[in-house]
Amino acid sequence: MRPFTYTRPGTLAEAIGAGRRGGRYVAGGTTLVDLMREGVEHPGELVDLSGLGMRGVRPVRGGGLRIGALARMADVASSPFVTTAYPVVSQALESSASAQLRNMATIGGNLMQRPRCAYFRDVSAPCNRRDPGSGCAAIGGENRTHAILGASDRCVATHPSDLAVALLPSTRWCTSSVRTDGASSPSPTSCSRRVRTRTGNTTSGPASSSPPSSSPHLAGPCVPDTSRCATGRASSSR
Amino acid sequence: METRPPRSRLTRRTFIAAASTTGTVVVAGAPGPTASGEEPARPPGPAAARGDGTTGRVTFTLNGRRTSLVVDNRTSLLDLLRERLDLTGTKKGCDAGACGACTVHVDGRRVNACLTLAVRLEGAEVTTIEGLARHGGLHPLQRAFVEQDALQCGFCTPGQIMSGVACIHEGHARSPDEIREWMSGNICRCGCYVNIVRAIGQAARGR
Amino acid sequence: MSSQYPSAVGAPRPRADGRLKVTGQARYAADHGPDDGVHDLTHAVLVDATVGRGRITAIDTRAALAVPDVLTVIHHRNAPRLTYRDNPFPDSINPPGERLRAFQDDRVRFFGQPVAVVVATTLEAAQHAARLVEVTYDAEPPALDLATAPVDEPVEYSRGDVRDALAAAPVRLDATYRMARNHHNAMEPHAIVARWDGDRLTVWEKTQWVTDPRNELAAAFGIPQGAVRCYSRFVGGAFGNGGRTWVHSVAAALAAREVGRPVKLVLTRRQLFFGVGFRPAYDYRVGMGSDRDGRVTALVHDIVGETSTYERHEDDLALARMLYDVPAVRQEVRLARLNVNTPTWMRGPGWSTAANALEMSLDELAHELGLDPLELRMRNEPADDPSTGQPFSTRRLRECYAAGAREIGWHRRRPDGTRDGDWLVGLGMAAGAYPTERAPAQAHVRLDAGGTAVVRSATSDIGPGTTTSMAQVAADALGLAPWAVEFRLGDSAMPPAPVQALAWTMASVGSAVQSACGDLRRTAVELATGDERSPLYGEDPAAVVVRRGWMHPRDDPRRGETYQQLLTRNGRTHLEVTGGYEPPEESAFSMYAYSAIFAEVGVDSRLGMVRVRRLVGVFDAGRIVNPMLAESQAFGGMTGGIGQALLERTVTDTRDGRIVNAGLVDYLVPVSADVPEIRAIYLDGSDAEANPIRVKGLGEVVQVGVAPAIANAVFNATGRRVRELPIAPEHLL
Repeated sequence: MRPFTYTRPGTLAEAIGAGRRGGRYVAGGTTLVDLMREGVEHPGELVDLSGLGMRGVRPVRGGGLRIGALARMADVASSPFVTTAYPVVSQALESSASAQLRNMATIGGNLMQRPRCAYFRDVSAPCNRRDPGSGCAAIGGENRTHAILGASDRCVATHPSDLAVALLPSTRWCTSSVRTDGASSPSPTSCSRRVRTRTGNTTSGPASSSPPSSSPHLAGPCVPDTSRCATGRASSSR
Repeated sequence: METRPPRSRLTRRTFIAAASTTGTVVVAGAPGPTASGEEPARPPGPAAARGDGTTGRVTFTLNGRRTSLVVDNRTSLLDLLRERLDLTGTKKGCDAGACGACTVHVDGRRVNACLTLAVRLEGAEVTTIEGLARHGGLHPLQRAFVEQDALQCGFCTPGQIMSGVACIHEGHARSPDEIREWMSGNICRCGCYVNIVRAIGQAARGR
Repeated sequence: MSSQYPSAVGAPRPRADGRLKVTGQARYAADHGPDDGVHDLTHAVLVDATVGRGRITAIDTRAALAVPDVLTVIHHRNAPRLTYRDNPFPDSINPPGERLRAFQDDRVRFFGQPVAVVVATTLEAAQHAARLVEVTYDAEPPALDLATAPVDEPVEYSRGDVRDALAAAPVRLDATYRMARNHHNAMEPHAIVARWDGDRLTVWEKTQWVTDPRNELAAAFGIPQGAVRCYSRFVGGAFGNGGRTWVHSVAAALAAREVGRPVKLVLTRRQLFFGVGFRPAYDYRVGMGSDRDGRVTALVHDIVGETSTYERHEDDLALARMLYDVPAVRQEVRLARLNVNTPTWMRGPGWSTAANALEMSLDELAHELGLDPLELRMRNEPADDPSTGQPFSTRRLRECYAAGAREIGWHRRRPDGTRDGDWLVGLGMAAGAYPTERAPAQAHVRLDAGGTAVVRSATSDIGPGTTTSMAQVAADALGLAPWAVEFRLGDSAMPPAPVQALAWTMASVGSAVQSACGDLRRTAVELATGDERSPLYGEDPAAVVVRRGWMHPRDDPRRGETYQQLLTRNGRTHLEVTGGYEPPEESAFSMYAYSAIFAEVGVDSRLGMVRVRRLVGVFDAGRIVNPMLAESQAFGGMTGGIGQALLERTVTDTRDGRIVNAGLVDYLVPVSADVPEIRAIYLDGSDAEANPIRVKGLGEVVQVGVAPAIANAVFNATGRRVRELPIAPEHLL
């Protein structure tokens, strides 16, 4: 891991300012710290969002839920608002990763997480998503768990979020990304009142330095990866 | 402050493991950690000496003791425990959040210490396997692990126990199937799962 | 001499070191530090090759050396030439060939081979700097495919006329089974702390055999074996790959010598996939001929397995020759020379591989004949070992079958399985065996005047509970309560013991412990019977027994004295004895432990997901020293078998030799949710021919036959014969 400075802003404005000067946002850290250790991510500044609140899960007038981007996966999964009205969300969350990781990871980070493709995570392999233009090692390599449909000739990785999979077919959804330009814009385009997820753009970093597909990724077709999840619980899916 | 009988051989390891009440730990001999508010008596470890903002002071409660030290921002809670504080009960199995051997409690919740940056722990309350039971006794789950032979090599055991204590506390230990599901973030390669499930069931039932 | 009453042996005693393990006080290799006299510790991190074969043309370490706190970067251009004396078996368990050396040449033999080591005063700096070492390669295409790689001359075995027997057989079967490479993935990563004091080297090493690092490091550095001390009290699992001493250990010791400070090196989980061996993949072709009643008349095994380009690791695949009464058998084993690091033993080595193929093929034959698979096995049960002609010491496989069938409810099995909602449910079974091995061993026992004893031997405890079970053996031989005996291990300066592997520790070290402790007991008894002041004066020593430290005539438990009284009166602080066990050169018997495994699986008819619902293992393993520990061992082996059957598969990118699932996220091992209630049954018994402890070994056999039982259950559930392990959902969709 390259040395980095660390800040923990207390306000949204400070956080946006830190992001604007190139800081990398960290929420749960379960993806980012791992990727930094692998050399995939090497920020010079880490901006800790944990002081910003945004952890609530509450019903929205007229139907739907508002989930704070920094709400932990475990808390959302066990929220009575979710378990009663959106059990699929609860189940998707609880089938993700492990109890420990769900205590750490946030909803925003979960939806914005980077691919779990082995080549993306191995800096000695080419990967367009990590290093645009370098090629895709998964095409022609090991891609057993990758996309069958909806892939491009540049990347065949699927989105790793079980939650995203649960959200896509059964609900329409909305993210409000806090952009480094300060604008809070809905993205992607499909927005509904059913489940709202407000993300802090936690792991994809400044928009300008991200590979273009890292955040609108969710808008595209997403093939559920039924064979594995983060803790090797492949055969434990029910 | 409670008084304890003097220990015949007070090493850094036993000192920290034995520490049980509030008050700031001054880690003797370890480069870096100092009493809260004091400047380091000597350079706080080679990494922490950098003046470029890539180190930071963090103050948190560790096994009931307030602890303040300067850390390299890159240092994980796991490496801090193991490499600087000599609390080696927390194990590094994968360093990637996939095996659970490093499970500790932060603010009462089970987390992977390998993915927790130490510098982010300001104000947090951290409990490790060394701080689970007080006064040299065993936590009921520790006792259940021995009684049910829920361990073989023992390497994953501290993480299993920390995870199991939380699993019970969360209310996820009401049936063997539920325990299996909620303990699947802790790999035991020796294959003690059958006995681990029994041990957690036993402790959950308060026996 | 008198025989003692067994009281400790056979009792389900909890682990002697359980408390240390549940409190985090048990210290594994990487946990050693100042309390062990390791001061000014530095951290080493390996740099791994990123090509699968070739030469290093340049190494640029400038950026790495510029990182604060970095002390040095060692690679083949600046490393001192090391002696590397030959260190073959039995001084080590290095396989035949030329072992990989630490930074001694520019050749890359496999992807992930260590090409440099960075040493720094902090772990963070060493890790960061290791990423900054720039290595340039002249890459060559690696050999990675079993089917096309160059193979060694086959190792052949033959009995009877297979060609005639096959030609005459009314029923024939020809099938190839593919078994994936498996990685051990013990929870403790390989780790070493190395400290030099002048020309003497001390290491705290993860190992199954403290003797091996001592000898290998002495050989590498050209120093006497006595100049190296290896400690390894606690080992966080190993399953075979802690047997030999791998190149990273030499690298760590070299680094420590170069920087003049102790070095800690812990392999990353990823590096464990490249540097410490694996269970080789196999293409295993079975040809079988049988009559219509299910008497197998011919068996052909054409086997291709993996080894490296520089060493020849050979698994023992002899199960195929002895398990059934087949008159004509031919076996040819070819090893493909691949650009991989050298494979090694992994739990049930060879025997589980052969059982996978043989037991799946037997299930196919049973189906072909319309016979119950259990009945088919009964019909081929031999009277004597067909591979040697010798009688079996004990072989109670029929009893194993009966007990297992009863426990799983085999009578419920339907030829086409059953259904439970969306789940297709099937039952399957398989048999297994593992040879009863023995090796020379020594132990030292010291009985103190306080009435407690310490027994020591340079063995290991990688998880079976050796510390506990040896104390039980010692307690009975000494006539002490188990709590009064402490067994110590894991120090190369202790009396020598064999590697903890091959399920031979109890047979070998246990026999040495029993012998040494028996000698000590007799010494004490003779001291008493010759001592006028003793109530036992003049007794026939052979008629004196010792119970709970009380020596007394067998027929008069009230007259006697304690060890304490005897030693104190004689002014002795202690008695001590070093004893040993030397197995006979030859035996008139064939000795094996046996397994019969029964599995019930459910297969999700929509997703192809396989769940093991029940697993029953019945074992004929001789005497059981500690039923509690033995049950845990069986749970472990059977859990490993679930992994082999359904999860574990190392995936190599055939373009460059990169292992793409080198981590616990992508290399799946069983987790709690994968493992149902398991029932493990040991037949009550003992094997008097096997060794003085009368055990047959259980650590290996508990995994043999598990995977094929599960695979056969999947066939019963689905009617789909998957000839590949692990079975994946896509095979069943």
